[in-house]
Amino acid sequence: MQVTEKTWGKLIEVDVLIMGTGAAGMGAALRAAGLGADVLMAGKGRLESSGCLGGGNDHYMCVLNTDAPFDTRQDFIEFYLKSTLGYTPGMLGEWFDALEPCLRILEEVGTEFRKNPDGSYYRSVGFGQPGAWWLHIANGQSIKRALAKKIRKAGVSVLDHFQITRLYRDGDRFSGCVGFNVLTGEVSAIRCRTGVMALGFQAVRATNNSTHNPYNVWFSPYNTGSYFVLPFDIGAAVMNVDIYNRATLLPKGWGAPGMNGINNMGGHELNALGERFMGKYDPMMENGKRRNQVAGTVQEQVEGNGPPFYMDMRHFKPEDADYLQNVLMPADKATYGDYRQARGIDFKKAPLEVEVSELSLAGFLHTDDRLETPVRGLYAACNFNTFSGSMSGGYASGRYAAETAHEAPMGQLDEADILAEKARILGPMQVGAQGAMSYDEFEEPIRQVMDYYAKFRRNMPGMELALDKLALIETYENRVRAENLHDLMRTHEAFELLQMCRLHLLACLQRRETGRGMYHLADYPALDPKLGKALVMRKVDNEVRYGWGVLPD
Amino acid sequence: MPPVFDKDKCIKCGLCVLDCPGYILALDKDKDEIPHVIGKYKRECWHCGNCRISCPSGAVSYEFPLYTLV
Repeated sequence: MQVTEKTWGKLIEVDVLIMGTGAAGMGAALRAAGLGADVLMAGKGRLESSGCLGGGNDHYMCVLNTDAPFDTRQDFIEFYLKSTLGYTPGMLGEWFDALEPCLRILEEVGTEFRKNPDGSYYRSVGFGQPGAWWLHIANGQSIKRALAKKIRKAGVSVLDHFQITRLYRDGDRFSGCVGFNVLTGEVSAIRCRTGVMALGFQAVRATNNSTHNPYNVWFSPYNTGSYFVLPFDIGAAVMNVDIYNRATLLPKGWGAPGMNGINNMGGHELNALGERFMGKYDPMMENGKRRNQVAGTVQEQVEGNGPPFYMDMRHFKPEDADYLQNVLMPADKATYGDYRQARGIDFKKAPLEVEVSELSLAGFLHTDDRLETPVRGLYAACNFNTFSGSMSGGYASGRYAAETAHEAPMGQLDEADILAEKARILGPMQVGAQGAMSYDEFEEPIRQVMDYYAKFRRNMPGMELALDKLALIETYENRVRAENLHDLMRTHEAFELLQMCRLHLLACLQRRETGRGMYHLADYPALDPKLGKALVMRKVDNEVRYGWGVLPD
Repeated sequence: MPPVFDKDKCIKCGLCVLDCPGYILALDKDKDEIPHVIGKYKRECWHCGNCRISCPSGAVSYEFPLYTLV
């Protein structure tokens, strides 16, 4: 890595640039560094605590290739090889092949997996999968720091506190990025031979849960869609940003995960009438597809059968209830024990009140089998879900980024582009107080629009109107005033959120059916078998083009 | 959520401020203060627990806002 001081900031040159320091970026860094590459990780947080893994994780999904039922490479590929998702056997093979090496890395840094008395891994079934693929982690809170220590020791360069605001391409190749340090305001440009996009596949803060605090949510609220918005802007294609939106059940009033453990260990969901209703919505009941649990609970609410809703674990064996609430859930969310104490929650004594969460946006980047996007040299690390998918996706893409960096030219950045982006980044700091608005005042109307027109129940005219209203909000961008660097960071997150919501709505207007995403369309209430394909979107000559299962020209 | 700092246990090392992914904490060492949540950004806490995980002296606990309890 080479750093040159310029009049406008720092110019950094590195062979492999990993954008994002969460679980996916860490997998990519470990693999690329292991192959001897010159690697720089850059991310908004600090490596030791950033991303969804920062506060912990309680599960690692891993098919172990044993004699257990549905435990082979083939079983894994068959489960995820659905035309709607857009995965190819090659991509899924990359995912599978990275699962075991990442498991070994996690064990090497001290991750404690629950074991059976015979020493084998304790595993459970989850979310409609055929086999017991979920390993349980007891000390999830320490994973991020342990991996960070290994990465720093491996000689990987790390640029912490760096918010990336724009990517660049040179011809058909990825060439680098510009961003700023959220603590100092210093702008830097990074040019590279290859890049790994690892900024996280969840775009949060798009809608509210019952608490109306967009930071009190399921996944990291500091992530508003840069994984999609930034590559899309330079010609990469986003995929399934319509139907891959995400929701879950939350403990009522508190943004934390936990239903994975509760569902797969046998929790019963009850409505206000005391009915265990999930049989109406999924043959596997609570342990079926997450989408069905959310859609089923929303339907019960529409019919007036709730709120309240509950997860009942009173029938659990005492040791299972104890393990779930004292080990697994605090491993996933480090403050769960504090919340439990504050609410007086005890799974053996009373059911846990739950609510349907906010709806976050997600999707994939379109890639080939080697996880390379249509922008050559730019690899996608966050196309596989869950913690193990993130780390594995990073691990696989880190390999190809490192290998191709040997023959790839160093990306070129235009100084005029860097200066223009610096002016755009710092622009909100120059806005005068007269007529100005805060980032909150800009961002809240985005959620107002999405909550009202584009949540779990929608229709096409409503979404078209929502797009018009987002366009109106966009005209206020030049009024947002940042009084300090914290405000500046949130302002750029809000700008990204608006673009992410726009991409989501554009995609949803193409898919005239109900049943694949989390939402129900009143004007297209049935599944259309012809639409069982991934929806791919790309910007070509400043126009958005669409392809069903194929990359649009 | 958000964190509360015990002034008797805090050693003012600043690790919690450094590790907060929401950048909602501040510590002015010149004023010999303990860390605090910047009032304006209080609601941006994700209650991720990183401040407590980082704390070497066990000085961090959490207070839950009313809206998380109803």
